[in-house]
Amino acid sequence: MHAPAKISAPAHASVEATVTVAIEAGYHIQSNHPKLDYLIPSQVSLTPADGIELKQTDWPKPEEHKFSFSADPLTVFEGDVPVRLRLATGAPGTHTIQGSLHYQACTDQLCRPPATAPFTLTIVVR
Amino acid sequence: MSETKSKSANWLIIGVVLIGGLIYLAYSRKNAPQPVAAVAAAGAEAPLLEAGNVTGRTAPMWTLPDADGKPVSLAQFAGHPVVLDFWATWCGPCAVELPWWKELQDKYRAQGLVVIGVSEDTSLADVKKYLATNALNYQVVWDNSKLMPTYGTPFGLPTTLFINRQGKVTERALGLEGKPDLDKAIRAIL
Repeated sequence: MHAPAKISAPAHASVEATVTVAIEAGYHIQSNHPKLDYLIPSQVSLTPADGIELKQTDWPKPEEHKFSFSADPLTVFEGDVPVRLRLATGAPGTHTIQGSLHYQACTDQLCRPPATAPFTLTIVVR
Repeated sequence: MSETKSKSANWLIIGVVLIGGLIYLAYSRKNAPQPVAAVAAAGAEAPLLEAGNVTGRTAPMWTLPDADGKPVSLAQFAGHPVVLDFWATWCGPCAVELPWWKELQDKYRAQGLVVIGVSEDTSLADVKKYLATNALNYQVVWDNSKLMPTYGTPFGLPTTLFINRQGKVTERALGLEGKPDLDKAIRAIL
């Protein structure tokens, strides 16, 4: 994980930030709304922090991919995946926010266990 | 980066979350990679299998609950050829193999074969829900990630170990295998 840039934003405003998920070649992660209910969806969360509120998380359109183990195409993410976070700022201040991506990755033959990848946002509200 | 005074949305790339370290792809049994770390286990009743060095070694003993919470021990099946299929309800490739295990259990039951599905689900409720709609004709136990390190195998599902009547691991398969390959491996331990 790369260290995030320090972001400046106005107070009491909307800010959008993008976290890019880099998935190694050969692997995919489930989309945020998998077609099958037993698949583990990808989810981004932020630890609540005073002065910053996560209003919405926008995922890109997933790919439909037919795998050797699936009768029908599944909705997955592969490669670099930009996830847009819509945030609301409060009063001025510097906020360091912990976030995490929860995901479960597979190849065409093998699945890794569900995992969580942390990231950090630093937002300077002026 | 210049500060904006407008209330319009600002697009910023703030970081990259790397899903790294996933260097394992599908391997055939003959080309199974060496895991990178030694393993340790608590309570093993037999010598631990070193990471990557499982073939020919004695399978470590274990006791795990079945879906109803009743304890099941590998020791119960001493003298039987045993297949340990590490799987999970969220694992698509695992789901391909499950009906094959049912067929192979029926095919070789009279010769003493014992297939044991070792679930790596974190929730026993998920396992119960799955079994309620997908009846299996073989033993299922709930591991929740405690046992795989004991068997010196990297965490990838499905992982299958074939244990002969003498309690030794004869083969390990990492990833989805073809049914003929599974059948062949079973015949080698009968």
